[in-house]
Amino acid sequence: MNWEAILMTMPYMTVVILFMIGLFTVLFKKNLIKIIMGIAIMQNAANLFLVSLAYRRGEHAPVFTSAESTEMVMPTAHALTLTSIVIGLATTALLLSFVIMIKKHYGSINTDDVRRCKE
Amino acid sequence: MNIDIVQHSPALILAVPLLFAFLTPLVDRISEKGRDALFFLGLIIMAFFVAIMAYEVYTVGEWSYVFGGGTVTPTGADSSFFRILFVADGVSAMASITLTISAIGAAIYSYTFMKDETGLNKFNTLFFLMVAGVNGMVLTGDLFNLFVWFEVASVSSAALIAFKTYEGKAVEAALKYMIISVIGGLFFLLSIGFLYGQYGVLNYQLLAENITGTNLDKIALTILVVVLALKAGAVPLHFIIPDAYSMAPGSVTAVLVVASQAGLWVLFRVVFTLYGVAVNTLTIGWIVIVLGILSMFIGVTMALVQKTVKRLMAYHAISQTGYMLLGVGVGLAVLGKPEMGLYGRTAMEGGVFHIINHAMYKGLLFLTAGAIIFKTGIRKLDDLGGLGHSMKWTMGFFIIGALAIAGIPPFNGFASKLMIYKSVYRFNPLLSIIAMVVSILTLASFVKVFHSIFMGPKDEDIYDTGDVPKPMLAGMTILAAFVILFSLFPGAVVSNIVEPAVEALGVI
Amino acid sequence: MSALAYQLVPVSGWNPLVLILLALIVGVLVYMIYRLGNHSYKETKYKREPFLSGNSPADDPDSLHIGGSNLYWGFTRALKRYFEPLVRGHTGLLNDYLYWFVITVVVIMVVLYFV
Repeated sequence: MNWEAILMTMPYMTVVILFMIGLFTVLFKKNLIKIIMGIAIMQNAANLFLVSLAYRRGEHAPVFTSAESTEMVMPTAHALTLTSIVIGLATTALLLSFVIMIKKHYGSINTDDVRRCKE
Repeated sequence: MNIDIVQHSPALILAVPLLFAFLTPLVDRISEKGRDALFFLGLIIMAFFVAIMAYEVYTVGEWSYVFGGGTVTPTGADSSFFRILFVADGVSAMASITLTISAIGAAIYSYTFMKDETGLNKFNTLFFLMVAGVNGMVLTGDLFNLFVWFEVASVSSAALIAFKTYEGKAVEAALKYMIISVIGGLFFLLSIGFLYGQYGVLNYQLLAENITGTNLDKIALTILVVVLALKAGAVPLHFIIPDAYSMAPGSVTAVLVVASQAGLWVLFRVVFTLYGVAVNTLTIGWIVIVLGILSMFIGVTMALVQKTVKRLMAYHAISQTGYMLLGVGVGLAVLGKPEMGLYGRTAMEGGVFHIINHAMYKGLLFLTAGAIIFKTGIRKLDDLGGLGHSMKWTMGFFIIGALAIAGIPPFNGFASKLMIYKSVYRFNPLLSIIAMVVSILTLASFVKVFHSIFMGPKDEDIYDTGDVPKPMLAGMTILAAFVILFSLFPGAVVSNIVEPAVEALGVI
Repeated sequence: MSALAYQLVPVSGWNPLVLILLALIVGVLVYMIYRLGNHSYKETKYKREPFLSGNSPADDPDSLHIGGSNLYWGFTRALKRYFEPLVRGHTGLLNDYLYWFVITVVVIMVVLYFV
């Protein structure tokens, strides 16, 4: 078993597992709150993917001022991830407020019942 | 101070709606008239900057704008390709012009249409944010910035769809729209990750130089194509479009059409500029063509069985999107081959010209549907009838829009459809015949709607003298004037506005 | 731009200005034929009411105007085998919208990989 290869690709396998869990939740669950939780899991998977792409072997995190060596990871991907986390926060807030209003109008949050615009 | 406004116009086009979006609630506390005046003022200032940018693009040429000052330096330690770039070329100019015309028409229309609603300061804010988001999507030159503006546009569109929160169906449509857009954005983020991990850069120009056709690139291309087709409303990803368009308020739907088309513009940029000949363009071209044919056919046949006015028009919007995909797909399939000079370029011009035509006449049709619902309060076709006796101006605008969408000469729909028919016929005759059959079915469907709403004797239940108020007529007049203007001079529009866009996509 | 493209852009024959001129000429002809009509026609109250094959419209005011979903009934009924699965496929379920998205991604990926 090539342990080093498995260790080096562990973040990517986690990303795949998380994304698949989120995707199955969104596809197969009928409760709106569970669907939104699935979306949150997918957002976490995408953010983890972006952060783990930036790693280069032997380099350090760019947070020190007097580091032992100046070989540091380029923080572009970290900036993208921060933006994505904030966007995820805003969208989750909007989705949850929509679910509150739907509960008030329809009386249930099951996707089988929230179907008045058909055809 | 020496500020070159022309060079800074891409940033100003985005800065003005964002500033006015957050200034509106402040002004609303002081006076309501000030809020309405600010609405028009903001859009007119943005139109001024769009005109400056378009004039510069059409006379001098395209340029890239770097945020943070300075000029574009490709290499070196402080290379500007690590910063965010905006691209001002033919595609940005054409898309911004379309959006500005639609937004100004819809804004004048919504002055009376939304008068009875409360919370209008939030409506104005969200409208400015949506305009900023759509402009950002077509102006940007960087893939991650595109993701940011994509999310801004989808959040503000969903909030605008749910504006009438006292109707349960509007909130349901907005929730579905938001969930679909967010999941699409997440897949988009995955494909950005694939491209970034391989090449380390994310802007269009550097990525286009470095890209090769590895397997990961193909996966990223698939995800990008499907997510952008989801935003644009192509079959089989079209299910959200009828719900969202029919439940939004009338003026918002006219701008939502342009927001969906922004997805189409970005799709063309990705397929032509970003990937180009690195992948097998015949396969991708045929995929886009098949999406287009499915959209055309399923869109128009579903529209024949609808019972509500706005849902029917939304299915027609899906069908017309199929025309755009067909024209550009044929151009993509012959990219790099000698037939490009023969018919590929004309097919692309037809498809791209159809985008601005569709925004004009579809916006006009949605505004007339909103006028009918405003006057009578009825949405279903079965209960309407005999409105031609009282709403004469609305009937006139509806006739202009219906003839334009069906492709009847001399309107502008005919001009772009003729370019598509003639060039697609030389590629594969069957596709052109399907397109013509769909055009006939479109005409049939609009004859049905016209007869149901306007013809017939006066129905005493819903008859009311007079037409809709003047600001709504003024908004419709703006869009109808542009429809007629594009109908009378299609050659001039194609050579001045459409050709720079097609050349900017990288098609020589 | 190639020579063929110049011909495809509507500048000849399909020129909209020529077509509008033709429409105006036909309009003038129509007006001249209208003027040859009957001048002694006086509009009374009964001449403007709709005619329903001898039935009085006051009996059944709802049947005066056929509109909405009753038009094209024959067309949709004849193509029932195409329309029934199509309309049933548009369920309105959120999960179905996402199934189609995932299926499309998979199909296009397979096509792009193998062709």
